[in-house]
Amino acid sequence: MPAVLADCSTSKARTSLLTLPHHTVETPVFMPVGTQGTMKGILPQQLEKLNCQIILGNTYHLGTRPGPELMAKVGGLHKFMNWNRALLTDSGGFQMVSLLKLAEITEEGVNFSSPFDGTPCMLTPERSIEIQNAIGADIIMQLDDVVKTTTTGPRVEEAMQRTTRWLDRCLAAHRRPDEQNIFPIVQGGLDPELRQQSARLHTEREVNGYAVGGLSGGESKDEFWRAVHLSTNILPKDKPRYLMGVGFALDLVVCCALGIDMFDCVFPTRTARFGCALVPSGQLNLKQKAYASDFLPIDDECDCSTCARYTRAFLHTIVTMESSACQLLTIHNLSYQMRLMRGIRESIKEDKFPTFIQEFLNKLYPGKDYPKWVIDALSAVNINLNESQ
Amino acid sequence: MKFSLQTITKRGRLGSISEIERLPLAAFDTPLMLLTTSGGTVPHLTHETLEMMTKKSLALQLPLASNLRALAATRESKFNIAEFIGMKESLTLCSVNDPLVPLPGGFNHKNSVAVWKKEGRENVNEVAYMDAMESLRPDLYQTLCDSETDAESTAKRLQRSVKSTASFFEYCLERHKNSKVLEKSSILASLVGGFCSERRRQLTKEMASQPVDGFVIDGFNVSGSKGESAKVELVKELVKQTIADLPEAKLRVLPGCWSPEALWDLVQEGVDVFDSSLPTVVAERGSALTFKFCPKTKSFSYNFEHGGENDLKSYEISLKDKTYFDRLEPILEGCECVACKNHTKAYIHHLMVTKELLGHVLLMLHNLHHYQLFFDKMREAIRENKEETAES
Ligand SMILES: [Zn+2]
Ligand SMILES: [Zn+2]
Repeated sequence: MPAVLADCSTSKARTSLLTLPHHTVETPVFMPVGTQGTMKGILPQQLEKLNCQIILGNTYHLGTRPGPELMAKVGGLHKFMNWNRALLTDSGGFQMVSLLKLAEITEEGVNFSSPFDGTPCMLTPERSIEIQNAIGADIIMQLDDVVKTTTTGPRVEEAMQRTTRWLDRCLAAHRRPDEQNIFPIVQGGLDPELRQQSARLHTEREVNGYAVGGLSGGESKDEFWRAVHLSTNILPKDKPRYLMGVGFALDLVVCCALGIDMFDCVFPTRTARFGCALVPSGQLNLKQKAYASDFLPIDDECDCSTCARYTRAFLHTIVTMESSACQLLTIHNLSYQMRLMRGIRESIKEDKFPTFIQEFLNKLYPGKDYPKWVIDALSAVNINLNESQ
Repeated sequence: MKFSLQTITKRGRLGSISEIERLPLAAFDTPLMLLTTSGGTVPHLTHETLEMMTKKSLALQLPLASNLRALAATRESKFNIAEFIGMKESLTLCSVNDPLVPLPGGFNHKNSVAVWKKEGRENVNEVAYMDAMESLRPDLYQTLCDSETDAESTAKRLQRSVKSTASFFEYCLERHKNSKVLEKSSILASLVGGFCSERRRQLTKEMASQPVDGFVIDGFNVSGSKGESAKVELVKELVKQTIADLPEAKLRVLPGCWSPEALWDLVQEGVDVFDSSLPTVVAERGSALTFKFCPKTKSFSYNFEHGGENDLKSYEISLKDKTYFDRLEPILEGCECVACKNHTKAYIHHLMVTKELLGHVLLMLHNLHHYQLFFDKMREAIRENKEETAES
């Protein structure tokens, strides 16, 4: 499925063209999250202008409202929200376990009581795929058995094994294999053995890409990067690898070096609502008094429509007060993410990714006080940071 | 600013606002709809989405309440309010009241006017008001007024309102004349008097000959939902009487959340400038404007989809209504707005049900587009009227 454009000659990073039914996506890619078929007041035309190539919808939410019947009737989420580029949906399992306190996992599926009327419901692998088939995203996810990242003991292995059994049920239930790609999810917690076993089991299935799941949930950064590194070592080089729920700039850069191609995260859009703008040096909280008389744009190197027209001082007066402010900051934050990813892709093409990382880190850590996990993770893929310049 | 009248008929007049010092190339046809802002933004929209709505130059109404937040910044910087809010190509008019929010009433003092910000109330006297205007430097602004009056106001309250407004006026005009920074701004005299024709006439006669660029007919307390249910027949009479006392060549502004029918009546009385509070308030409650106005017959027609079981107005449909769950047609068949060209009722209903921001964005884009078209059609109706009169 992906056509590799270039490999980084130092690290595991690569840039590819991923041809999906609705759009050809350049990877590494960041996928903004549009949970209910929309993103923070931004029109689809604006998302295109920002160069968003693929966005994420949540199966649990869309399966509840408006529901799979209407989705099928309108011809899927693309038509429903008028988005012509690629879409990805999650399985609904993670949302269920994290949103609903009463969810219980059995071999059959996830048992939960309806948040509307309390009646008992069951999300099975088959049902998840049925809903995702109705939503019609380009990439759909298997239902996996999610355990808290910090869980230890036999439950981790059980979840890992069950995830593979559920994968087979998902693949068997999939009714639109020509239009939608199922991605299995590598589980196994933080246990290297289990994670490698999960990755190996899943590579035996015939699929077009893989997700690395169960991370970014409270584990230490050291455990996090090692689990990613292990997973990408096993997953086949010729298929895209999607790291679920990761989207902080630093994590994106490091994980690209570890060989990840796709990312998603609610952070850039969620934080916009609270007046937080992403910049190369980190974040600006525009609510702070310091910005009341700061007449610069959020980032004078940013080419987004917000930075072209609005100052920090003006945004300071409207963040968290006017709904337009949320849109202005969302536009900027998405633009920041998209530009970061474009920079990563370009630098891989020119085989200058290590230099890109060094420059990126210099802006984020002017004092060169890089976190240890970043130094370790990058040196694991032969990128040695210049610490003493 | 230059206001030039092109056509005067018994059913309204056509004119143009031009030669704004800051915007030498812009011209605004009247009757004109100002875009009502909140905190310097058109609610739910941005410069980018406004550009999708129209390519025309925009005229913004900036209520003092939401401008107060910008005050410190404009005072300290070289920016005027249009530049500060990122809308330097738009005309700006500062108003005393916010037509989006009904006035609580009872908070104006003899020497100051209550301004309602999101954080709470602030009383502004004429000195603070003119200080604010000198910082904001809008293209047009009205003199400070005590307009907290309505049909229930006592004679004594109305007397006080007229008296304070006249005294505010005196100060504002004097400051304006001597102000270097306001040299390029136009000043509009505020006319108040509630629903009492004598009080209104008293003040109007005093103001009519003053060296101002126009008049703001205020003091009806018709912000937000109060405007939609105002006693229009009474207002019409009072506006007619007021306008009869005003010089023909000067601009007449009438803020408030009028129903489309009331608005057309008021246009016919010779009012030149209104605001966009109605389409905004309607979008805010999850509704889309669907009324039609025919410039030939000068009549309204409606789309009664709801069967009248709820308290919706004849000019709207509520996208919160369950009937739209699976309706795959646009809000209004034939509408050329961004919302109607790209999205279905079912999708907007979904956005309403899930309380997603985009729902209000799409409703604002449709409603403002629809209301702008309504203004185009009213101007066409006046033009037609002139031709008819000429023929007969
Ligand atoms: Zn920007
Ligand atoms: Zn429309």
